[in-house]
Amino acid sequence: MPLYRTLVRPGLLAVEQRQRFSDDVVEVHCGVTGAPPSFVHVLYVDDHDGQLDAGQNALVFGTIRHGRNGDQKAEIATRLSAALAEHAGVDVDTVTTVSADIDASYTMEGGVILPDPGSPEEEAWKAGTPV
Amino acid sequence: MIRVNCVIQADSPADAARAELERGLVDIHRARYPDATVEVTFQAVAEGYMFTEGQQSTSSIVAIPLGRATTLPEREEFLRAVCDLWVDVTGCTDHEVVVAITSGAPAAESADSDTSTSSDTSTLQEA
Repeated sequence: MPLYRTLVRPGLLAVEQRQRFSDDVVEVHCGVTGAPPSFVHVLYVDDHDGQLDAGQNALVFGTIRHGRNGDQKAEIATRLSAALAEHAGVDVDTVTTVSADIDASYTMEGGVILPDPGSPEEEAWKAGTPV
Repeated sequence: MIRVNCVIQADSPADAARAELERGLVDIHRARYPDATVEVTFQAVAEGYMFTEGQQSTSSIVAIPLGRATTLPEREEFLRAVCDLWVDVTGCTDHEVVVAITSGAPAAESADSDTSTSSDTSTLQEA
């Protein structure tokens, strides 16, 4: 966690572009939040079911731990939309990035319940996290 | 009905062990919630479609809409059982499996209960 589920118009991103955007997600999410990079997942789904709106090229949906503030979320959304648009060569207005908060205590990763962002437990957790 | 959704890597050990993982997940639920009916689905992700830390992912994501209140100790025990199942069956490390309870009302307040807000992570279920 986080998991960034990236729904894209089929054919929009080649594997090299998916790779580069995944790097961007790590850089942006971890740079903004301080989260360990080894926990950042990016899943791509080609929109064969027509879930995207007309004219929309991609929807990035981040599932992140509760506790990030509005400025952090806005910065992540802005930078990820811009990065994906650049890699895909499309207008940034056709890329949407949103996020949903989850309660960290409902998720286990690395064999432990995830701590809340900013909590004392998180510091200990980060200290034991492979980077 | 609890519909467990497992995102796994195509042609991975988890992909090869779907039946054993499904049996294990059902057993874990039945041992704790005998009234629960469990359905397990797998979504195999092709190479180049999932990345962890910017690298081709080897991780599985198990999303479980438990649909009932749980205390933190209950959740931890339940999540650990699923994590251990994955490690035992697939040979992965515990860093290669993410287990999330994706719905559940807050537990009633009590001396040993966690009163945090509910977790509605339906987005994980769609992953």
